[in-house]
Amino acid sequence: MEADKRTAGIASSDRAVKISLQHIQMVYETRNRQMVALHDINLHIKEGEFVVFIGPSGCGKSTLLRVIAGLLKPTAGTMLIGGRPTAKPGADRAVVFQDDSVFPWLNVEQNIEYGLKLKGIARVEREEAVDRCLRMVGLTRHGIRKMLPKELSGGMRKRVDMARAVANNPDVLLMDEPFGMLDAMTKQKLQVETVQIWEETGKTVCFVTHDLEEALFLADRIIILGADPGHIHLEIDPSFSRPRRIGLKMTAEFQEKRGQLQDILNALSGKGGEELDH
Amino acid sequence: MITESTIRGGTKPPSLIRKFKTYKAWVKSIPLLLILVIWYIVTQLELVRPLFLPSPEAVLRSYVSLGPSLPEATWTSLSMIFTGFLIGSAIGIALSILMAYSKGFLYAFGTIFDLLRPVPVFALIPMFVLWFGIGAAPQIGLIALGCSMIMGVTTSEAVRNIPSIYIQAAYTLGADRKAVFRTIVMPNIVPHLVGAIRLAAASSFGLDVAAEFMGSQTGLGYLMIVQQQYLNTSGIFAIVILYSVLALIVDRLIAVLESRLTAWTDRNHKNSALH
Ligand SMILES: Nc1ncnc2c1ncn2[C@@H]1O[C@H](COP(=O)(O)OP(=O)(O)OP(=O)(O)O)[C@@H](O)[C@H]1O
Ligand SMILES: [Mg+2]
Repeated sequence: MEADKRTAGIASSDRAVKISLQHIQMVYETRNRQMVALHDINLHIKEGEFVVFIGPSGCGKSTLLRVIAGLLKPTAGTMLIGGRPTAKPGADRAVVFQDDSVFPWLNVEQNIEYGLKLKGIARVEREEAVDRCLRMVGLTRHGIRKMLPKELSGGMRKRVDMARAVANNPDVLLMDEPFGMLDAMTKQKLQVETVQIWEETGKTVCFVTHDLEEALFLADRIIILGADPGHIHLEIDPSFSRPRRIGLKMTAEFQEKRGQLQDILNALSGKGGEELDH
Repeated sequence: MITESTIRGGTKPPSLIRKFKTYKAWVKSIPLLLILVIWYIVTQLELVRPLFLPSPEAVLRSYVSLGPSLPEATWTSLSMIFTGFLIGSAIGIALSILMAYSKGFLYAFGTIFDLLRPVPVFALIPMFVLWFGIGAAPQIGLIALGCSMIMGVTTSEAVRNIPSIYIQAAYTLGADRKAVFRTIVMPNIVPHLVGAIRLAAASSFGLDVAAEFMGSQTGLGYLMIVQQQYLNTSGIFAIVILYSVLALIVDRLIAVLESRLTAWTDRNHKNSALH
């Protein structure tokens, strides 16, 4: 598969490594036993790369994202962020969590500007950022800025969550099934938006999903994780040219790759036993 | 066919809602009215001896006869209650905030509060009298102790119940420890603190009565004991009602504050998921 990388024109091999995981091991201590969630993960993600993680439920995708975020300290191995050993969370790596993490005591606007306020950014600029990010995630309903999270639907909250992460302008965006709860239309729209933001800003993105079309549409590189213990099973390069437009999903090549990916995952979950994905 | 009038028909629901609201106010006051009516009927028919249940008129008359001593007694009790409540809440809140800020403090005091939680403060009254004697100071001390315990117990619980995902999200948005305390911990415990203040205020009334029963020479509780010695049941009723009304007013005032500070939580919803 020959690669026609970013429109920006920088060959992938020239870009610096942003995230480097070396022999990462994550063991959870539960009441009566140890649970190896990640085993010997070696992974190098380049600056500006869009990496998508897929794999059966419980294989450690969220755990891996939390390790990269610095929220979980790996039991073994080293993580380098931009070449520096890192074990703590920071504003350079924003997370869109799988679970609801929008602050319920702040309204939509206050949620989105949370990080900017901490950085001491002026009010006018914050207002602008809130507007821009709300539009980006498609939350344009009148009066939305002053609404409390409990007044929003689950899908709307997820989008506030995304807006909050993007508004903070991080180097790395870690997104854990951000579109899982959305309807097909909104999802499609946000996928296109995500590709656009990414093509424009050149952020490094780690994205978890169960949706194979989403994975193929977004990714530079798809990493398939296997379970028990969580490990990297296979890496795939979708190698569709960029910029990508939504019509891509309709092409025969896209659908063929989707089928191949499905087969790989089926074999993977089949091997793992009766555990069902979803 | 949709005509303008069918669209305008949308004016109907508001009136229905209004009806529903007055209906609710009505239903809410029924039990209270019922009790008053039953009280009146029972005493009017002399089904119970006045010694056990005085008539509403007798209670009203007691206010007149107690009249001269009421203002001073009320003032004494209320000032005890407020002083004790303020001191206790201040200590309780200070401890709570320290517990919220420092893990070491939380572990140290959290254990104490966990152990003390099931101990009724009222059970400590005899010991209090034994150690500190009778008088305003021990009485205030007792109220303060009760209030600070309630505040401490509630907050140590509240701090532990903050969903960790909010703290994690804050860290990934660039917050440091101080910012997490200010922007995540405080907003999450304040609603509980206000709830605790409400509980503490209610309890301080109870503690005041109990303390005055133990041998005070002033205050409403003392006045009540005097009425009891003269078998003046209607006088006791009058004071009990006065106590209740005072406590109720304080409670309502704090409740207003509470609903403002907790608007973002779900527990204020009038239509709870139960009904
Ligand atoms: N806090 C924890 N304590 C103990 N075990 C945990 C904890 N969090 C996750 N695990 C275990 O680690 C494994 C990986 O969990 P993780 O949440 O990373 O899976 P996932 O790939 O994100 O799954 P899904 O697709 O369902 O979100 C699971 O077996 C889970 O039971
Ligand atoms: Mg997960």
